[in-house]
Formats: sequence, C-alpha cells, structure tokens
Amino acid sequence: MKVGVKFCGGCNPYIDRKKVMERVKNMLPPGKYKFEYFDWDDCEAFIAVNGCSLACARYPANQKVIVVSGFEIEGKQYSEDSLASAVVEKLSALTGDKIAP
Amino acid sequence: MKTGQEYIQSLKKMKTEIYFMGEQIENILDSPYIRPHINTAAVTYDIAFEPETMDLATAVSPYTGKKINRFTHIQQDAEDMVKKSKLLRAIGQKTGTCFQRCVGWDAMNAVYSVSYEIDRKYGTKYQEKVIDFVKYIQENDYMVVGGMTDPKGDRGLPPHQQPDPDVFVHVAERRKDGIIVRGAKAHQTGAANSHEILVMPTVAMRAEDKDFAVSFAAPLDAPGVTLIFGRQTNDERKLGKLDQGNPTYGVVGGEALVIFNNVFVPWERVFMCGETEFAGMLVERFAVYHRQNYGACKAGVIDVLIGASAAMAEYNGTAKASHIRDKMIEMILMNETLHASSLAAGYESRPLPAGNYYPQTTYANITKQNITRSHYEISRLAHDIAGGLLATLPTEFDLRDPVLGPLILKYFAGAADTNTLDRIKLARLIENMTGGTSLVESMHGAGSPQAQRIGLLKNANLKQFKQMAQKICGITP
Repeated sequence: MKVGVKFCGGCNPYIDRKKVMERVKNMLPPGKYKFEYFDWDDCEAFIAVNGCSLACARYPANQKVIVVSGFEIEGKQYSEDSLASAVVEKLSALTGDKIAP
Repeated sequence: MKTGQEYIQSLKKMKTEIYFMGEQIENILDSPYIRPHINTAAVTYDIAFEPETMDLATAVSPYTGKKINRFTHIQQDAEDMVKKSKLLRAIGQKTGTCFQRCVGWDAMNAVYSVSYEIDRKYGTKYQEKVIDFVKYIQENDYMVVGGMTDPKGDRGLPPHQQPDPDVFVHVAERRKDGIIVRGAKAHQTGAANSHEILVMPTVAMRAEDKDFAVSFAAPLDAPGVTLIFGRQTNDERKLGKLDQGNPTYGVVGGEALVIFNNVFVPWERVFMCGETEFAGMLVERFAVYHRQNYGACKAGVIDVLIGASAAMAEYNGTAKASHIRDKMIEMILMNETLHASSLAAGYESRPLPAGNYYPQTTYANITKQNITRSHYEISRLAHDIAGGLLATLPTEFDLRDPVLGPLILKYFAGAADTNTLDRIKLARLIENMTGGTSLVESMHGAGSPQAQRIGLLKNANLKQFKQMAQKICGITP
C-alpha cells in the first residue's frame, strides 16, 4: 500500500518529525507499506508531518490524510512518544487495513 | 543527484588554481581553511536524500523530467519560491552558517529570464544556450558561483572610463569561436569549492560600456582563472578545533577573488555580449532573487544563534531573569520578521516574461534591508546575554594543558549541574557567529543597504498614496 508522506519545512520543530515517522514505519508490518516522500501519485493515504501547530505542510487535495501538527493530531493532544501509535491507529481506520501493533 | 560525499569527491577532479596565505593550495579537501566550507556545501547535497527534506530540497526539471537538486532548479511557480525560503532556513538550522550554493541558483534564474528578453528584442539565441547550461548543471548536479560583483575601481566612473578596465570583467577579444575575457569578480562565495561560475555584469551600463555588458559561464579551473581565497576574522582558529565555535561548518561561506586572465569562453557559454540596456535588468533580477534568501538562510542561522543564547543563559544561571527573556523576545521578533518577509516575497511571486517566477520585489528588498540591521542587533543581544567571556576566554591550547586546563574549568564554571566545557563551546559558537566576517556578509551580500533603499523608493507608489491622503482629508473630492 502506497502512503504519501509530506514533511513541513521544520523551521519550528516541537517534535522530532523524522523519529515519529521512523517509529510509525517500525510499527507497521514489514513490506506491506511503501512510503513515498516525493512522487505522490496513486497514494492510498497521506500523512502530513508538521513540527508545530501551524501545520503548514501542504498535501494533495481529496486525499485520505492524517495531519500531525506538533503534539496534536486532529484536535487531540499526545505525548511525542505516543504520536506514532496514534498515526498507525488512524492509518488503520483510514485504509480499512487491520494493523496489528 | 550527487550525495555530499560524491560532491566532495567531484572536487578532487577540479584543477582550480587557488592561493591563500601566500601559497598555492594543491588540495582544498585537506586545507583546514577551506574544508569547513566544503562540509557546509555538502549539506546542500545530502539534504536532497533525507525523507524529511526531500520535498523541499528536490524538484522535477521541466527540461529533463528528472528529479533534481532544487539548487539547480529554474523557479516554475510560487510554491517553488516558498520552498526555496523554507529549504534555506532548514539548511541554516543544520549548518549555522552560509552554505554558498544559493548564489549560483539565483544567477541561473536571473540569466534565464534576461536572456529570454534579449532574444525577444534582438533575435539572438542566448536563452537556448542558458537552457543547455542549466541542463548540464542539473545532470551533473554541479555547484555554481553567482559571479556578480566586480571590484569596480573608482565608483564615480562608468566601466569604459576606468583607468584600468580590468576592474570590470570585460570582453578583451571577440573571435569566431568565442570571446576572451579579462577582469575579476570579488567576494565570490563558495568559489573555492564550486565547479562553475556564472558571470553577470554588476552595474547598469551605457552604450559605451558595450565590452563590459557580458554574461557567461566558465569552469573554475578553466585556463587563466585564478582564485585568491579571502581572509576571515579568526581564520587561524581553523588550525585548531574548539575555538572555531563551529568546527565542522566554519563561519560564513568562504569568499575568493576570482581573476580572469585572458580566459577563453566559447559562444555556447555566452549569454549576453554587448546588449548594454539589459545589464541593469540582469543586476536587478539577480539582486532581488538573492535578497529574498536573507530572510531564509539567515533565519536558520539566527535560529542557531538564538538557541545558543538561550542555552548560554541557562549555563550562566540567568535564564529566568525578566530582562534576559525580553532580549530573547526581541531576537525572536526580529528573526521571524525576517522569515515572514522572505516567505511573503515567495507567496507573492509572479512569472517573468520568460515564465520563471520572481520574488515580490519590495518584500525581497525589505528582507535584505532588515538583515543589515537585525543581524547586528541580534548579535548585540547575544553578546549581552552571553557575557564578557566571549571576549576573554583562554585558548583551547591552554584548556588542554594539564595544569591550566583544570583552572580554566574551575573559574569558568557556570550554573550548578552545567558542564563548563559545554559552556565554553557555546561561548565560542556565539563569538564566532557574531564576529566581523559574518556580520559584514549580512551587510553587503546581495547588494549594500543603499541599493535596497533605492529599490524601495522606486517601487513605492507615492503618487497614489498622496492621492489617498488628500482624498481622506478633503483636499480632493
């Protein structure tokens, strides 16, 4: 499954965006998900990883998208350590793919 | 695209003739004076491969359809202009210093746009040569110097009246297969560790200045090209480590005088030759492109300085003092203002007749005008916060001494539970980031302050503003 990932510019990073995505990847079954950082055609879902609540990372319209805005995902606050599992949970809900942690 | 290591290895193939401290430097990779600047430029390559910066640092070439390093890209839309700003800040945060490569990037965009307009007026074929050069740079992922600034000699005289014509790069001879050029370009950032130089005129010109209205590209190791690397404040600290403050990436970009001594340039690499009425346009286009950057790369560099100052306050045990917090606020206010204007110049960018995008001129001029003040003021506040030890710290050589070292650590200890050696490292970082060379670069890079002020007045619509005022206060209906 192809998942697009867009990072913000990182000018004001409250979280380690790279680490959050690495944790997400480590939680997912190996080989099943392909993360695309540049060519976003044909992505089934999208993760926008923003370092702060400004959430300036732009993503393609009409995409199933999970937006990380610093410590927040869709209005709910998380600790930095729990962001990755929250992203995986939402990815599972978006794609209908039951992902075992 | 090249990785940073591949870029560094590519420099080994260059046969650039370069001098510093009275000697020719045979291998720039081993020169402690130049190596930090090479390390910095390498970051502009590696960043294109990092997942979190890949989108910012790469683009798709409209000429080849391939993914390229963004530093070789011709700006296609406003999003490109905004990404430029964000990319430069991101790299500034990594390096804490100038990373040199944006000058050539801006030069390519400026020359691309002006060559189109020359062709449109005179039926020349300059732009197709520019595109060939851009493709060559993209395919090889080369680093280009933006060759703008001539030594200029007597600033009161135009180029053709200079007692020594070599103070402006000029065409010494026109041949069937190309031109021979003479002269020099001063303050050339990154020249020592770049592959090519893209030369542009530096002033608006009259018809009599025909031989000086020249733009071309040349490899930096072309026969007849000589570089003399410039001195920096504290540069002998590069022979050590800790006292540099930023030992991996150095300070500023590393600038050189690039001399052209009867250098042959084939016509395929000539992008302007005698079209004097376009010289001023090229100067302005390059300058505006480049001025946008100073609220981006410098914003990232100043993020590091602000961070160093905040950390220093903690090491000093003064972080909670209200006057320290207020100084931090001032630094943040100035820095974010810089970045805001750089972003605005990008968001409000528009296409030129050639089709490539160009920053909003007033916002770009504001950005550069503000950095000429803000960097000094922010540095002043950093000095204030850090304390007098910036000016008096013993050397790293004394720190290594078995008797003196413990005494230095004892008497320069800061707040409880802080590491004194770390305090010294921070102090050196602040000292070197705010020393002479780095501030002068902010003052004069992309044009001296008066140049932006002239631009601001030229583009301000005072006639309309007067009418607004006169209408509101009832002078006119």
